[in-house]
Amino acid sequence: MSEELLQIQTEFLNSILLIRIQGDMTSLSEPVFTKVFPWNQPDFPKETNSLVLDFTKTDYINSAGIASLIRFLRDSKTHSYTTHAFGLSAHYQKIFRIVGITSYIELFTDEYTTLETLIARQKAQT
Amino acid sequence: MILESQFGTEKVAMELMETFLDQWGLPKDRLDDLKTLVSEGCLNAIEHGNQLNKHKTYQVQFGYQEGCLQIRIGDNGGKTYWKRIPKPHSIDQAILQKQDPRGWGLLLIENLSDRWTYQIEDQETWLTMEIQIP
Repeated sequence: MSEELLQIQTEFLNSILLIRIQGDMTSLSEPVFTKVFPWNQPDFPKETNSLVLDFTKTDYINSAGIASLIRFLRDSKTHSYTTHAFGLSAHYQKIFRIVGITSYIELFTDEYTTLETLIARQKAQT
Repeated sequence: MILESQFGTEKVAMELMETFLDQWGLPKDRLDDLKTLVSEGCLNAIEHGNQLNKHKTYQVQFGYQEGCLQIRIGDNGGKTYWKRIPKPHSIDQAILQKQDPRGWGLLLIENLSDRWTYQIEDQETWLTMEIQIP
């Protein structure tokens, strides 16, 4: 049995970058994951301030995948983005709490709730 | 079972955990925890014990006795093993102080198992994880 390679799709919505993650998050997935980091892309819309990770189709996250995610969060914070996520199974929510990642990623239950909440917050700030 | 020291082989062991629980008629409410324990134990063996050497193998054993499920994973790391395990920092150190972001496997093993130990010999190391399943 081999790893399911990571595939990532991105979408821009208002000032939100939605990152859809499909496959396994392991040590082998880091190069793919790194490519979508907005700070690595010169043409990235500058008005973006929120990053949303969609884990709906992510079935396996091991400790190396968590390390990749921590690198992402570290850079996200350095560049003043807020980071959010939805679609995590109950098990991986527990794993994230054990590691402490939940202090740096705001978790939501589903895509609709995530986007509606973030858009409402943006409107409240304008 | 004996597996090659390559990333991805841990998934074979993870899937066999469910088969083992079925064979013993054990409940599966902690199946995800057990799979993660197997995964992290295997990854330690692959990366640290066997140094990602594809020509080396590691062993995975499951046992159940008197309400205790035991997962044992053996590699060829031996007495050099302990020097190579990344020591986990806190998440705040990893993110705010930019410390090494790796090393969460043992933290997960500590939190998901009821007891775990290492037996280190000259040429091999055995990780044993125990989980109470009444």
